[in-house]
Amino acid sequence: MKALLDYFTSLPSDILLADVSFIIIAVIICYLLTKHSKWEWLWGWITSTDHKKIGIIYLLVSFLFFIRAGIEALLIRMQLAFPNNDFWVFQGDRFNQLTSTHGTVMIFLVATPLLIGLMNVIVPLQIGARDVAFPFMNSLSLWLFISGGILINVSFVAGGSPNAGWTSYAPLALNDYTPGPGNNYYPIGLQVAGLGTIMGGINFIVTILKMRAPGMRFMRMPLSTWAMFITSILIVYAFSALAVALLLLTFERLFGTVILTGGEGNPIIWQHLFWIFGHPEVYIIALPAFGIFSDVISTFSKRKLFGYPSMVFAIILIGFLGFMVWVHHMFTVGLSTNITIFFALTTMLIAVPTGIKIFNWLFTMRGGRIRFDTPMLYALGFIFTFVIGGVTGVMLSVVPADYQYHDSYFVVAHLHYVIIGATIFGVFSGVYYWWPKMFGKFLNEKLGKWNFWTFGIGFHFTFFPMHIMGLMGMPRRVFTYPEGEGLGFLNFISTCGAFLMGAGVLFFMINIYITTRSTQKNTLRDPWFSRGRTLEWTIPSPPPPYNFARLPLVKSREPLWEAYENGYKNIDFIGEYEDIHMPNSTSLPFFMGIGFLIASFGFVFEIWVIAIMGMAVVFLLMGIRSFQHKSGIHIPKEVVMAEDKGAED
Amino acid sequence: MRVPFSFYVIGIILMSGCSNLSVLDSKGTAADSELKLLYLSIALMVIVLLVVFSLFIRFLIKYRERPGQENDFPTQIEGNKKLETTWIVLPFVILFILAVPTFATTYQLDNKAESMDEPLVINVTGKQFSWVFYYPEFEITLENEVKLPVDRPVIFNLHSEDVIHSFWIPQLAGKKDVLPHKENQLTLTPLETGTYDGKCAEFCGASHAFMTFETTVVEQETFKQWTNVADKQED
Repeated sequence: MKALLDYFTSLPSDILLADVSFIIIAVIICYLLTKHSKWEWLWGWITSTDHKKIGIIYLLVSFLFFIRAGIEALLIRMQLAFPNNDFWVFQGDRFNQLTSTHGTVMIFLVATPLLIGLMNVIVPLQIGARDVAFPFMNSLSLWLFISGGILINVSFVAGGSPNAGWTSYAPLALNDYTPGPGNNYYPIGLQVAGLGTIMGGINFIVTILKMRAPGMRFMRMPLSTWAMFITSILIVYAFSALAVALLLLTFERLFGTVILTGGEGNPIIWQHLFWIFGHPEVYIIALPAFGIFSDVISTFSKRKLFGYPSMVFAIILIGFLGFMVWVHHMFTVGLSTNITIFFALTTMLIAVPTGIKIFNWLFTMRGGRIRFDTPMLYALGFIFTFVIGGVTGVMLSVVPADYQYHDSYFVVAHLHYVIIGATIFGVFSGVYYWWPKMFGKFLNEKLGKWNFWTFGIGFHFTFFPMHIMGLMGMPRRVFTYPEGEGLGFLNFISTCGAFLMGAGVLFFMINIYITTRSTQKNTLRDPWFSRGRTLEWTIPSPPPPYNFARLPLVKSREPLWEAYENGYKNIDFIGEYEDIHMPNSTSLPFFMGIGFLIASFGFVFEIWVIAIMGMAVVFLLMGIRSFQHKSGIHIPKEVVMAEDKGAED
Repeated sequence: MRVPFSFYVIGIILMSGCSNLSVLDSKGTAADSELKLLYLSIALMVIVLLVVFSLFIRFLIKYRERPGQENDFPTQIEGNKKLETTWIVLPFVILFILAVPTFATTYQLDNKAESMDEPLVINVTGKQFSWVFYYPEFEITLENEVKLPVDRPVIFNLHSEDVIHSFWIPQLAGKKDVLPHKENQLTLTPLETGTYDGKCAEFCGASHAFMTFETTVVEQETFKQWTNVADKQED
């Protein structure tokens, strides 16, 4: 007992606080679940193979990670608020842990899964499908992501967080310079989460290729679906490159191979592999957001998307070029000039399809009847922000000037303009837009506007000054800076802006709480003032488990809008009612996730017994799955008919 | 409104911090040619921003839904070939204007060492968390400071003892990575005397923030005297 007490008192105060708050939250959640006897309800969600429920769990879990990494961002800003500052414990190595996990969590566990979650809900609805192609694999993707996410988040209290930056460059990330379990968490946690993402990518590709409703040709798909299709292809290629890189790093750290060390190996191999993944990743988290904005802008302007074919072409071109620009992250490495020039050229070229998209969005609004509801506000905020992020992107492709910007705060500003501007604004826009579809209730518009304006204004206050800090010569990832260089004032503004953004997120949470508590239901099929254009607005809100009672017949790009224009209330559905075949719910993916979690701890701490045990669990469950005979459940025709009639009235 | 307000903010920031914008206050040949491209790209990009933002604001004001229009069905159009061609072609023109000087300057900066006249060679070793400068010509070693004569070309041979660092003197030249397994070169000619900050720009560990050095550029005569005195002290 005394030993335990000694251990706890020896912990730094921040870890102690994290431990205590974690225990308190866990106790409260358990108490609430028991009090309202909701355990069974929870288990129903965990074992569900319904794409909508899986999507919602994705959104919830990645939002929790967003809060965690957001708090880290605030701690970073507190430490940097003043010159020569000593805030709490976050100097030197502890600061590096903060920045490393902030970046890692935000990219891999927030940006990517938030969009995957949203698209999980929406894509089948938009193409008129009853579920994704592989519901079991969908659930497995989710639990692998959560498993990897837990691993990276737990590192903070168990053995130290990764501290070699979110890019984890060799040789700094190797045993010689950062020994201990901290940096083992990075490759192993991301490997597990990445496996889930690759499966998710394959799942989306097959779903979109094979599950489209009758008449839903490729050139009739909504832009969100198109974007997710291209994104899924990028995921399969890019995350495979990441898997290889992580495997090399794992082997190097655990078994002492010499692939990434200087001398025998070559640390630049890591940089190439990481950025071959890393740059397409930017588009993996931007393209679905582009898709969302296309749908939102078109709906809230009451106008057909301007230049649909060129929008699709632009997405494909961005996806393709996205694989040919990775060296622009490595201009200062000292590669040959010809290579540098080639990648500068491809980088500049990406501006062309991006420009096409921006102008098409602008001209979609022209001649419309624009409403300024929260989803549209976020879409407009995106255009404003992303254009700034885009032009700094072109500036960064100018190689000699990049020698100055590179690894300075200018780059920090640019990447946040692009990633928050596209991904986070996109997710907010999409969540406000589709919330009534997912839950049958509107999020509060007034709080939504508070949410948008605080977050948006806070964002520009936080990140705009960083461009100037970069030009003043402030390098990235420094935990302090000297007085008298004029950096103090800008950093202080930036810190204030960060807290304003925090307030914005708080408004969002309050909004969700109030909306969830309210009993006011909105069961309209198309709640956005009958402006809906695509298939998801033709079915009840929230949709039944099988989405479509009868399949829609798609005759044009915007079937619902066409029906409205011709004076109908809804589109035509085809065929007779019949029994609907739905997948079984399953607990295997959940336990596979646990198996991977156990194994990963074994690998991280190099305790091979635990690692082997965990992997044994995984393989055992895979065996069970292989021989399991479950043919799914059938929802009887009568039930479907009754529900469909009920929704009509 | 957000747009004018943020411009106002930019104005204040620029006025208050102008003297410290070291990248814009270049004192060396490499930084000079980098700065020229920086200004060119900013100028081109400001044009883009003006076009996009003026269309943006105009459309938002003109086409907002007014009371009574709730049940309108505005005309729907697919696109417009002429407009779409315009915004495919114009970016190419802008990029072409930007690309040509970019490529020329990149070749020039990367291949300078061969064409240099009597360069001063300095071997730089980066290690966690300090810089060592060695002048082979005079057999002088300095730590965390480097002295350069004005108007004489300098070649820095960069090498790391441990992890990857990046060598950066914002007022004299852009960055070059300092690698553990390969030698990189950075060339520049200081154009004015003075003291300039140098720093490590590639994240390299716990005290990355403190891996700085001071660059002093002095008159050629002063530099000559200094090398003589330093030489004697070494002996």
